[in-house]
Amino acid sequence: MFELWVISRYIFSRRGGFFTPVSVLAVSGMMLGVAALVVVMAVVSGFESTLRNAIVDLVGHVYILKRGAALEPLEEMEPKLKSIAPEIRGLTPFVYVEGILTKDGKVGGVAVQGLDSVAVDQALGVKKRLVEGSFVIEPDAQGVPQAVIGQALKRKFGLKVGDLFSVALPRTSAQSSSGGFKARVARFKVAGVVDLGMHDFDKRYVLTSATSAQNLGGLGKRYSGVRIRISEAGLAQDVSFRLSSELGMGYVVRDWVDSKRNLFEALQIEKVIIFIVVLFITVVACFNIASSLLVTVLRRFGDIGIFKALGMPQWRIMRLFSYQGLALGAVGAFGGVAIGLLVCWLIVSTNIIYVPSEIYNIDHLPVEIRIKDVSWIVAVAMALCWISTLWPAKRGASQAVVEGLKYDER
Amino acid sequence: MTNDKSILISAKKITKVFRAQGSLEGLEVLKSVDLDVYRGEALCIMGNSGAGKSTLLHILSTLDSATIGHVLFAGQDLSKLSQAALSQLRNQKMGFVFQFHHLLNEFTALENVMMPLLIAGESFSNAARSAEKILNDLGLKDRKSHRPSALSGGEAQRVAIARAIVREPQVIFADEPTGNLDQKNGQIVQNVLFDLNRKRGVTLVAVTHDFEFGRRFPRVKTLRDGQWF
Repeated sequence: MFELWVISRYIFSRRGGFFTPVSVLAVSGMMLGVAALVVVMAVVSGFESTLRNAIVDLVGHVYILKRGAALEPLEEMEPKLKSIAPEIRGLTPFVYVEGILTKDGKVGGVAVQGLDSVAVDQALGVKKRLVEGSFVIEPDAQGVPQAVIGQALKRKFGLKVGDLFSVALPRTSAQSSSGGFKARVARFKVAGVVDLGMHDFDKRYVLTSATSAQNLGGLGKRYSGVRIRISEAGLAQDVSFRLSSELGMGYVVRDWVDSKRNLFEALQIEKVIIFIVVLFITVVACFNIASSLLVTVLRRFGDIGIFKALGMPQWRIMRLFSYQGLALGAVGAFGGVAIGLLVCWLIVSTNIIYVPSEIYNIDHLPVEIRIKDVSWIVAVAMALCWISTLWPAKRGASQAVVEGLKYDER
Repeated sequence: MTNDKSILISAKKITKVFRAQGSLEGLEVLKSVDLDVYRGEALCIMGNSGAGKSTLLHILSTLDSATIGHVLFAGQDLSKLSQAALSQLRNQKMGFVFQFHHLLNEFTALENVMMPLLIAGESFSNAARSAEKILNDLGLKDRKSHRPSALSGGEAQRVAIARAIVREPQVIFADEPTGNLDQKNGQIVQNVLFDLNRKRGVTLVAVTHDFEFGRRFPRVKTLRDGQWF
């Protein structure tokens, strides 16, 4: 308490206080370092979250595929799955077939996902990603199957809402005259366009009704699997493991991380590496704070002599200057957080930074501020700052009393 | 004036050598000096500049250490105490008045006087009450909110005396306490110090080269070239 009272006076003093050029520069350096860390971590977290949300909205937290035989009816599966994993909040069956989209001479591979237009909301978030038209996947009044397509697919084929396109599915056939292949073709009408959040998805996915997809794939009434939403994305691996163990070999159980496992693992490693590299700015700033504190200590030699003469022990004098360094660091750290948050807000509100989606899968710089990340940044910055204050504080505290008193007479 | 004859401080064969950095040769400032200071007495150490009187005072008061020899305070060998214990001893039993007032510029007169109490762990309210009383006693009631830069030399020195006695020490070490003051303020400071010695029984050890000041002490010892004259 006494030490804090003393430094509160020193901080606002013209003699070695906060507002000397050396201290202002040191604190500014700290602010920049911390702000850079906040922004970089927010962008990496934002990228991670954008990918996760895109994946979860399209494929669910967990999905189950049946090997060989037809999937049991959902009414039978649901209680069984929920008894294994009470975290399950919703399920929807799906059909997955891969085909070739043709339109005006252009050809490209697509993934057709057949969904139950009622149950889809229980497990997936594709409806909220609609950017054009309407999310109608059931056949229209004339019986023409309707589909919602990714926006990159729309651009690639020059499609508009209401346009028709064909999807062909190559099938091997002994009777075929064309070398053993016989194409199954279905025509779809574009009902809407979605932004699926990832370029990979956007350029490939065609969402339609389960019946239309079953007809295209010649699957009869069979579903490919079940997409599942659980209470928390972080539990997906655990739930997936339990379902896989309980359901046995006849099923393939995957979670959302499996869809882009390499990417997510790389992101985790990158996040740590970026943190360490950018942290070096803060380390350099801490050296500046240490040198600013050393200047303060030198200017306070007289006061140190007085405090010692009055009976203040060395360790308390060390603590006094350590607190002053920490106060500088705290201003730098929290000021840096404020600047970092401001920059994040600018990035989000102006959307000024363009990102090529073909390379990064996203078309804007995503930002997500996580309290945990910011807490870590502040904690590490303060710890570095505290370490950097120790030497100057020790230097001041170990000074001889008489020397300090002589200094004060100057 | 000596109230009783028990020894408070005893210095035995004190030698102090100052060496320049990196030099083997040193300057011997004190040469095997002995001194006993009695409880409640007022002792003056006199001598010319460079005689070693301030150095001796610093060694007696634990602000410096002897190269050879040792000091006993109330029978306790100071060379055997840790730095923390010496700090505690200075805070509890010693008061200091220097030629220069050595007040802390960022704090008011009252806060400066509170410092030894706060260092000792006293609460702010208790420390303020004690400090205010002493400032009143020394005629500084109207100056308690002033910073050192707003005080006259005599006032600053009286604040320094208030700070020295606020913990009710056993001994006050005064190093040329009137050296920076005019005659009038010098007299006031001298009177305060002698009053403390006479009325409160505080042991006074002063260093001066001022004969007028020295003449007021019942016991005077003179140093010349690091030895008693």
